[in-house]
Amino acid sequence: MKKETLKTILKFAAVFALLYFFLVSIGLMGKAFKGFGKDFAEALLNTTSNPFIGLFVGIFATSLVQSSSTTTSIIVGMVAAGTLTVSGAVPIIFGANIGTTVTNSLVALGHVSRREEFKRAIAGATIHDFFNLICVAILFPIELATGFLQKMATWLANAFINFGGIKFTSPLKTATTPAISGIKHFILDLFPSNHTLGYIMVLVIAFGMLYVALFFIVKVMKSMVMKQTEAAFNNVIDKNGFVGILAGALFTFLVQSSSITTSILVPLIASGIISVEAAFPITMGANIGTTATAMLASFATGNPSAIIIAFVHLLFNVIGVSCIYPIAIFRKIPIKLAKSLGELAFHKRRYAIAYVLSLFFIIPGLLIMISKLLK
Amino acid sequence: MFKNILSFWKGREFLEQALGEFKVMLTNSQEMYTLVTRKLIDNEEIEDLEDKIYTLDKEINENEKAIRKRIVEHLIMQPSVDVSVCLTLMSVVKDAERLGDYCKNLHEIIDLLDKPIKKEIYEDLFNGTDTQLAEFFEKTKTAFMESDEDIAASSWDEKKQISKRCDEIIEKLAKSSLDVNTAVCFTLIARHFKRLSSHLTNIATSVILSVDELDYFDESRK
Repeated sequence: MKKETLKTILKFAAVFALLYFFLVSIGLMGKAFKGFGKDFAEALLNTTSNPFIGLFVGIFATSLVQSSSTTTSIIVGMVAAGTLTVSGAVPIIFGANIGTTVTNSLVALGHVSRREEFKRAIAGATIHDFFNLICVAILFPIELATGFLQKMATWLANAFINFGGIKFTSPLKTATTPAISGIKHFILDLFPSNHTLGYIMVLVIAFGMLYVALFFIVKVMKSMVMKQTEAAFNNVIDKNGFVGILAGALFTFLVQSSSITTSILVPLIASGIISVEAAFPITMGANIGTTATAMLASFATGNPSAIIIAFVHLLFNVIGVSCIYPIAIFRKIPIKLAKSLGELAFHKRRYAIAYVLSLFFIIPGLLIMISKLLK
Repeated sequence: MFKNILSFWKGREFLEQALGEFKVMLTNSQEMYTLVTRKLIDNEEIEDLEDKIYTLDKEINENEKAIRKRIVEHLIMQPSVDVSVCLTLMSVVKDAERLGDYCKNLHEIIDLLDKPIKKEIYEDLFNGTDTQLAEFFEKTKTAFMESDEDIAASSWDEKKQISKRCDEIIEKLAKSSLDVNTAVCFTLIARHFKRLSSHLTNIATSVILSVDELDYFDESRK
């Protein structure tokens, strides 16, 4: 067998194994949250009852882990476990969309020593931030007032279930249940007199497995698709917006990380190879492609509420793109904002640094603390 | 639009595309050299010569920019893959672009000449240097595109011969009784031939030299 073929087979095998670990971690998380009992669930539900706090929790948590896939998978696990309601999870999902853009902002900061490059890098990174902020600004109030996303997602989830979707995806649950049970009982047996500590350990292991699985899935998938992506790149850039969105979604779906997609775009924009306008559709496509992870996690739980929240994530991004991109005047807004911030950063680089720290860490962190103090 | 959607996932691999574009640069410069020397030395009438020269040169410049752009894209997307190839390409595209420029400079000598070159005087001085250079273009293309190390290594000798001859021509011209116009134009031709051979050598020898040694003469490989 050729070396290259063997390498590809091994990579595919690795991806399947890692996906399995990922799905087991979701189930394990659900078990852990259930194990904490009613009081924990009520405390968490109280915390997230304020949708604005939920939004900032989503931003802050995702900024810390630098992965919306991780955050949304955790949320799916929590909804499946009943620790979080769908309506409580919706704002966190919105926040996760914003928080994930911290990665490409940090990549942009790497160009800080060269002003012109830095200006372009900041514009290229923050186009994603501004797009998500605008989507949240439009859809969040409407969702609070009408619950339209939740309703649409519920309809879709029911349609999915009625067409045998759960039956189709139940093998995932069947395949992962023995491993989930095994790990849970093994860890709980280590703490026979303190079940709470046992479940904390289960949760820690679950988080660890989730993070490691996603990290390596992204790494392996990237190594598998990068060559083809590079070859196809010039077919996609500056051609047709729809093709750009599709390409962004497909690549992100394959590598399971919107941060990878957008972080590749930032140095390309910084070096002047592509414009912010050309990269914008790919960025939006990345937003859509990244919803696949939560979708997969929800299928593994087989829980209708988990599937609903995964559909909310998908719908939020699809509707956001549909509202902003097709209309030229709306499309120009995030581009103009991103370029203005780039221009500001060109004159005073510290503004860009302050922007990143404030939007992703200081403001959400402070607001969460203040809300806890006021309670 | 639908054609775009279906075809977008297909594409040429980086190296294949970059080498294809570089081959066009070499072919164009070779074509420029052939056209210019036919007019300059043989006084052959070539229709729209200036347009052809400038079109070919423009394509060379466009390809240089395209290759550099591809290299940056490649190194951003796959940072540790083909790094030395990328750096070598960045160096040789400059040489290929200079080939085009020197051929354009040769073309400009046509306008400087008061009268067509006297073939006997030219051949007496240059002694087949232009023909050797024409063959050198072909050898360089073969050496680089096929990674032929033997042809690449022989480039140093080719260059040495051409450079020596060009220096001798200039020395002779400085002491000759030729009219100023002819002497100046012949001097320019000799200088441009010498520069062409240098850039051709740089391209050919990039096949056998490491990145840090590019454009330097390697005694040990002679």
